[in-house]
Amino acid sequence: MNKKITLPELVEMLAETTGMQKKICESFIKDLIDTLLTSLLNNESIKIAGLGVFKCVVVDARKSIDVNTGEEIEIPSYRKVTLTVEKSMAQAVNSAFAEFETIEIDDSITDEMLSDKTDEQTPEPPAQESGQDTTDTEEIIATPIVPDNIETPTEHLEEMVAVPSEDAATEQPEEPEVPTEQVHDTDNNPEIYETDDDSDCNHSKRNLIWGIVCGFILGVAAAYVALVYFDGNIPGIKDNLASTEVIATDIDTAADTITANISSESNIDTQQLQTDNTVVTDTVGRTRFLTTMARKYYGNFNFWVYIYMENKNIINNPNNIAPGTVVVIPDAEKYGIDKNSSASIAQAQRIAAEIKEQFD
Amino acid sequence: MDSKQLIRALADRSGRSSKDTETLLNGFVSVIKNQCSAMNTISIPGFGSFEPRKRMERITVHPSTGKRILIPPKVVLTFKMSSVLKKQLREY
Repeated sequence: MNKKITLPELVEMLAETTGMQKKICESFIKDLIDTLLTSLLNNESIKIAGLGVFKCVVVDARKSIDVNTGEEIEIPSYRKVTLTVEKSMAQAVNSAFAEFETIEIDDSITDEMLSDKTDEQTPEPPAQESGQDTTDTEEIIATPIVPDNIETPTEHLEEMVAVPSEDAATEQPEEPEVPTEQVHDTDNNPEIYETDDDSDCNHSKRNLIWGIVCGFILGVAAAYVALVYFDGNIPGIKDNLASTEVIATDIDTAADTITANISSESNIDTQQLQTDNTVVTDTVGRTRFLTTMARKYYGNFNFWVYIYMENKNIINNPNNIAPGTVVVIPDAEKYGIDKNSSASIAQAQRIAAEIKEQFD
Repeated sequence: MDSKQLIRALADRSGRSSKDTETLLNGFVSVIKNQCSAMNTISIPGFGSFEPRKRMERITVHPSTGKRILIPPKVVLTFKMSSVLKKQLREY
C-alpha cells in the first residue's frame, strides 16, 4: 500500500513473474526505456498491449499569474509525455471501486434537499454513539490478542517506577505475573489499553482492524439514515445500498458544489439585471470565445448562438473570430434564453447545428 | 509504433528472440498491473513513474440530457514524466 517501487525492486518482480534471470530483466527494462524515449523524442506514439499508449503532445503557451508576485507571465509552449491507459489496465487498477456505478440524480431531488441533508447530519450523532457502543464491545473481544504484545511496555513502566536500578535479566522472570494484572485492568477500565496501545509496535495492525470496523459501522449507520430520509423519494437510489452510502458520505462536497452553484446563479441574475439598463458588450480574446461569454451571461455555453445572431454583421465565421472583436451581448429575454429549460437549450443546439452546416 | 513493432525493435536491439521479448514485456505490464492495483507507485529513473491516484466522487451535469449524475469515486493509473525527461523534451 502506497509503497514506492524502485528500479531494482521492479527488476526483481519482473524476474519473478517471467522466471528469467535478473540480468536479462534489467537489460530488457533499460532497452525498453531507451526505445520508448527515442521514439517519444521523435514524436512517435507507442502502444504497449495491456498497458496503453504513450504519446508526446505539445502543450500550447498560455498566460498565467506568478503566484508570488501576482504578475502576469506567459508559460511557454512545451511538450509532455502522456499515457492513455488501456481499458483492461484501468479496470484492474480500479478493481476496488468496481462495484460503483454512475447514478442519475432524480429530478425530484432539488438542490435544497441535498443541502438539507447536511443539516440532517446533526441528528446523526446518536447513530454514531450506538456505533461506538458496539465498537466498545468489539474492543473487549479484541483484547485477548493484545496482552501478549502489551505486557512488555507496561511492565517496563512499572519496573522503572518501582525499582529503576534492577537489571534487565531480572525483568524477564516477572513477566508471567503481569498478564493477570492486566486482565483485571481490562475489566475495570478498558481505556488503559488505548494509552498502552500507542507505545505498542503492533498497534498499527490493530488500528487498521479498528478503523475498518468503525468505518463499516459508521457507513451502515449513514446509509440507514439516508435510506430512512430518502424513503419514497428516490426509487433509483433505494435499490442500491452502496450508492446511498456514497451519497451519504459525500453530502459535504455535494452541498459545497450546490452552494457554489447557487452563488454563481445569483451572480448571473445580477448581471442580467444590469443588462436591462445598459447595452452589454464583451471582447473576444484568444481564450475567450462566444461560448465562454454565453456561459458567463446565460449560464450555459449552448446559448452562444444568440450572441452570434446579435452580432451577425460583425462576425463572419463564428469558428474564427479575430481576437479583440467587441460583441454585443443581447438581453436574455430577447431570445427567450432560459438555462433551466431544456427546451430552450435544445432550441439553441438546433440553431447551432444550422449555423455549423452553413460554415462547413 | 504498436506492440508488435515494439517487440521486434526490442528483439533486434538485444539479440533475444521475439518470443522471449514478448514474455518480458507481458511480465512488465503484469507487474505494473499488480503493483498499481495494490496502490504502489512504480518509478523508473530517467523516464517517469506510474502512480495510481484516487479520484473523489462528484456530481456533474450530463451535457446532452441536462440531468445531474453522480460519478462514483475511482482509482486511475497516471503516468508522470520525470524531470530528466522533461528537460530532454525541452532541449530536443
